[in-house]
Amino acid sequence: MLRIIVCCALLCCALAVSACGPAAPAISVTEPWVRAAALTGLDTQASAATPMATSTDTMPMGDASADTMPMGGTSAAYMTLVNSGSTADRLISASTDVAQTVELHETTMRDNVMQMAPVTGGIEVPANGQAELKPAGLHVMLIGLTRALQPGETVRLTLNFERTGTIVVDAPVRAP
Amino acid sequence: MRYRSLIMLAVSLVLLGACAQPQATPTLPPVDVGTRIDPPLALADFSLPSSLGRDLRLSELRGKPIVLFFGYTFCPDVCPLTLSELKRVKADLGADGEQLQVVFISVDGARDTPEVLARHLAAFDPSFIGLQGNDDTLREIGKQYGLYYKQNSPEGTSAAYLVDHSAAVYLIDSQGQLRVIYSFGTAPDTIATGVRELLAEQP
Repeated sequence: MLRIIVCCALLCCALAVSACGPAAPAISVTEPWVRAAALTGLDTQASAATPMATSTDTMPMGDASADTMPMGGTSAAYMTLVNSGSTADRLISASTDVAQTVELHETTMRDNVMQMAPVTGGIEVPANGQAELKPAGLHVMLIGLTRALQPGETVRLTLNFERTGTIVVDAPVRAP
Repeated sequence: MRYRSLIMLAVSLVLLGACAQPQATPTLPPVDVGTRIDPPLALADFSLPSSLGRDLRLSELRGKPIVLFFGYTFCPDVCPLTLSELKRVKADLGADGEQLQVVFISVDGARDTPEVLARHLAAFDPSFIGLQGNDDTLREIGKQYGLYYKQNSPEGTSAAYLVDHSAAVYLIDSQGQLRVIYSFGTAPDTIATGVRELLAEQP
């Protein structure tokens, strides 16, 4: 009997200690989605001399589409980042194979004028809170699309958090 | 005793009412019905390269109500959102949707060539027309629309530049007169109602 009591007491202590230990953020990603977008042929770099990262060497010779296929265009990914942990975390970067460059941006509206700017220092996900990435607000901006994004498809996004590390999500493509 | 059952009933009704209430009612902004331009403002005519593959004059579109807005295709967020909503406006109008012409004027003519505009708009609705803006024309016509746009190159982006711009939607009647200005985020059915009013005016 005494042994059982001691065991229980130890277990309780262990639980209590683990609760007091260094708390970790616990990030989950809900309702990710990517806006459908066409390849526009838009030269995202404008005059910058950055060649498109096309892997033409894998194209069969004589494939005319390699030359005529428009590249480029932009899209955005949205989601809610939920943190059920007691420490804040921060989305610091993201990547995907459907875009040459991925950045964290924020759209703001002032007197009916739309402004967009990169977010410096990442997107904070507060402890026991969430960060909402939604149209006309925070978003993961996909620059230089490597393929058209059609509704019904899925885009794999790799999200890098300061503390949690990497989370991979498959986001459905849909029209806004 | 009767009292008690009445109280019980009242309490349960209150509880029921609480259940029926949507949880955490979002604070909805006041319904925006747009800013009516009265008297209507006759818009200056202009011509710009278009996604149709030729220069297009605004006056060529007379005879149909026009919904016009300014944006750029690099804009990943607000502009496609507006285009999607205008697609919804057309759908809301049903058969009358064919009577409406959507026009997108780019404030980023350097990147938004007629070809880029055509590809971009086709993903929304192939009937939408894109116009490649340039500073001279935009400066000339901008005042009538209260247009603001400005290129900027913030730190921390690989994009050569971004463009801040007015995000309003302009409703133009079949005579080429500006009738209503809708702010960004106006519900598609509000705009559809405005278009229907214009269609009803037509002989």
